[in-house]
Amino acid sequence: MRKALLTILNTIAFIALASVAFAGEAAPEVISMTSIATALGMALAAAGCGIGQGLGLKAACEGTARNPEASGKITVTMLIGLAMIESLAIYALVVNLILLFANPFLG
Amino acid sequence: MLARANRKIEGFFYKRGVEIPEIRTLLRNQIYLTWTGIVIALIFGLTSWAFEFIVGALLGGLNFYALAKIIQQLIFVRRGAVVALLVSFYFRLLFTGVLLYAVIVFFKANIVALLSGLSVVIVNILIFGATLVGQKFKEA
Repeated sequence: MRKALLTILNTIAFIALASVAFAGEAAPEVISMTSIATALGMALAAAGCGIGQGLGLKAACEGTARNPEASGKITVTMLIGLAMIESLAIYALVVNLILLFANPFLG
Repeated sequence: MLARANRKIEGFFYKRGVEIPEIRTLLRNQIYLTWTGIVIALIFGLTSWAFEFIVGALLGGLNFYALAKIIQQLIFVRRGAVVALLVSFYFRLLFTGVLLYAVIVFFKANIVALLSGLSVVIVNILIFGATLVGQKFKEA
């Protein structure tokens, strides 16, 4: 019951906030909130991807230390994983740049 | 003809220090996929779309190439490998960010085309992964 009530209240709060955001065309509050959102979004994306890449590299180094003959296969697998992680950061970057400089909701 | 092109492209990457054959194959496929995307865009008469696709694909491809080159050395570094990877990652992200900013803000690039170009790496990896399905590997 409590969960359902919280979900409903949250939904109402989000809808109310969204209408305020859309009503104020390029209001200073909206711009400042967008700036904070993009900064937070990029920071989270970069930090998460950095940590993920570091962990992947650590595991690969350990695997190579245990079995040096498998280093070629480990490197290929690591490259694939790292490229996937990195592309997430690049997508986040594109979304944040759109929000900051080409936001369709700010006119 | 395709075999000759494959040999030429792979030789080019081998000369630049990409020693693992699978990584050379991935880089070669990246070039082929980018060309395919450009040709498809031009067939439909999407000239500006093709240009923005090229920018995205080049950015993704260059990032992938730089990553491929650095991890070949990183795996043998005993200390400081994680720091080197992170520094390289943030520098590349900065470079990519500046270029993407210029393309989006100054050239008003089509975002869908740009994202399609950036997704070529993902498509390439997925195709590579699909070709590996069903293959049996000898346990080392």
